[in-house]
Amino acid sequence: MKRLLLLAAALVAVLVALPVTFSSGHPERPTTFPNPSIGHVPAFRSSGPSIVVCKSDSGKRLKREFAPRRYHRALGLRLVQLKRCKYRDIQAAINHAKSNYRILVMPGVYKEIPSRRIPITPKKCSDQNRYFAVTEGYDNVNARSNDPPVRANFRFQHDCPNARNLIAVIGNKHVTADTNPSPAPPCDRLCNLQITGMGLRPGNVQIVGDRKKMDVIRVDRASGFAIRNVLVQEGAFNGIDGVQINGFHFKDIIARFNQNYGILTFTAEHGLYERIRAYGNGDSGVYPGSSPKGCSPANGYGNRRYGIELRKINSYGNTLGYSGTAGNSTWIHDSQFHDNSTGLSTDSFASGHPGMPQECAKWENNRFNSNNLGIFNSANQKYCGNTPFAQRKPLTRVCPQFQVPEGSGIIIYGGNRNLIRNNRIYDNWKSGIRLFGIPAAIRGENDPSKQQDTSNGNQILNNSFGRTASGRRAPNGHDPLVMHTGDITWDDEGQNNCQQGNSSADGPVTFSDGVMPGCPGRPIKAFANGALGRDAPCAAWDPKTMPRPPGCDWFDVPSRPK
Amino acid sequence: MRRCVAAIAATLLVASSAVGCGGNSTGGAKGLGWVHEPRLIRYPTLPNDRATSGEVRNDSERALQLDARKVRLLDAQGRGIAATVTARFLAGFAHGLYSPTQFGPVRNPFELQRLGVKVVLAPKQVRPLTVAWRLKPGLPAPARVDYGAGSLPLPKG
Repeated sequence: MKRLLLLAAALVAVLVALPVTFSSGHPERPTTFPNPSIGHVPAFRSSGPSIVVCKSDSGKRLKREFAPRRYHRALGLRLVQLKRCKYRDIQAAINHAKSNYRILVMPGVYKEIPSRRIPITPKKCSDQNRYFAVTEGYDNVNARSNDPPVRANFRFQHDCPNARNLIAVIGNKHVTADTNPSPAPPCDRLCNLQITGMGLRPGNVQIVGDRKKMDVIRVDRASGFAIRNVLVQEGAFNGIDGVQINGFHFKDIIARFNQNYGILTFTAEHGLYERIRAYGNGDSGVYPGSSPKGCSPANGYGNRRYGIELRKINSYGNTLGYSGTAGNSTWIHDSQFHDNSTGLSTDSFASGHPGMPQECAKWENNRFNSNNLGIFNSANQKYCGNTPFAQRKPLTRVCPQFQVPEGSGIIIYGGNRNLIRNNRIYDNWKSGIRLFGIPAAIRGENDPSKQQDTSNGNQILNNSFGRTASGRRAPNGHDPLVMHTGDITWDDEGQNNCQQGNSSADGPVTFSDGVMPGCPGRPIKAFANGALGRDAPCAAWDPKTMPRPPGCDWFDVPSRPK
Repeated sequence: MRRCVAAIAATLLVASSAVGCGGNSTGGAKGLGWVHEPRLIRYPTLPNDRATSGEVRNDSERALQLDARKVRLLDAQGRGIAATVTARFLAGFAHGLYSPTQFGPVRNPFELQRLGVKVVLAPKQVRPLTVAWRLKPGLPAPARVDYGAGSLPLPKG
């Protein structure tokens, strides 16, 4: 009997622990924005205190990578630095670093074995009330269920930094409540830390997730962080995750085959993503989401501040090339989002994201093309639905984490005063740009005065639709049998949405649903024409139980437009 | 009347809105009724699929607890029709905070309400409703949708 009771008690303990063990989710713990009036994008330093990390074969790798005569000086410098190597793991070096240090990582494969040995939920950090926060939605702060909404709070990251992160850079000495004080507490340890891969190319320093820990690299409140010239892969959620950092710089990074996001920042400020290659990620390659607002209605279009900049991004082969729920005041330019299921999505249709509704992003001089990746076919969905991430064949499958309309260049579901200018948008077989309004209730805000607060004031200017840079004709979808097709699909909702100066493959821009007026657009708010309602059945998607919901035509890539 | 329609449209997306204007809804006399004739949506690329979208009002005198996962289709004689059916008390697309791939179906009450899966409608309260179905070829078109506490007529087609 006693043994039975013990067994029952053990079973109960396991069941209680389970939700914690497997809890996670995209939105973070409740967070606040950093102070926008301080901070800046850090520049990479070439001097100052540094720590060297290496593997036993780093010397051999260096000699091989830098073999050509033109690299001999660089090789010599690195071989001298290699003699200072004291650490085999990047986390070990971080643990011995101080603010303003540089971590120089020599070529090799970094699996961070000591971090891997730490359980996902160590006993020390298992107390639900002390170490977890409810994140799901705005109005359910008192809800306690067995759902995923419990999320590790800052105390968890502080006390058990490598439980859910292969590499952690935690920027506060002491624990403060997640949302108090606001703005976010300033960094007081490991500030201005820099990690530099010393290989010839990003792929020469490989940081490999164990496919169980959420983040391969997590940077939490460690402002002034910069990382360059590394490859990050196979995070159970993110390759690089930057939370509440004021000042960051990600440069020359390859982020691939992470379950959700290649590189994600959340409630971060003064940041630069530069020369990023992101592919194979189950949600998006890059995600600058929940960013601070940098424009106000009074500012109009001329007086804006962009808190996060992305340039020279090459994002392909993901479910989404770019996404950013509440991705405000972000400037994306000179980049290419191609061969994803959808090129770019910014939206206001999820709860729990500070900065809603989305507004004031600027996309200019980018290419959004050929986003026709078919990953919602039944074979892939079956595999993805039945095979947990940790058991999938590495570096092969892209398993969509959320449903998207395959064949789309840009989709904006709930966004205001965005500027889409001077881009090339072509060869997306369903549609070029899709702009819809989203009722605030869908993001969890039921205030009647907010229900039509998107999408308003968006401008689509001087873009080239349907032609490649060399002038070859490559139209976006315009089959009248396909819903929401054409260069611009618009639900006719809102006010001051406008387009001007755009060209298309065969002359005028093609529209579906609503014909968008020229600028400055219609000054009076209008109601949607119902186009959005046709997408509502897609909400029922579940790869296991409802892989092809009736009334959802998102999951078939149309044939190439003629 | 036009002003009344506009007022309804402005509020119908709000979960807690109440609508009056003196009009009669269509549907169960003591349950849900369509505020206006719902739209029937056909999908040229999905010939066996249909959806209907509109706004429903609780015309009863008690709060109705509704679960969109339990809706089913009925034929003109009130018999169940074998079909793949989904429903959401939503006017448009939304998705959960967590991927179903990783975490399975949503169970949190707030999320269920936000996603239009499980809602409580007070008397006179209005919410959008979208029902979609896929029928095997040759089956008769459904005449009504059963939402558990009653049924609503469906547009023909």
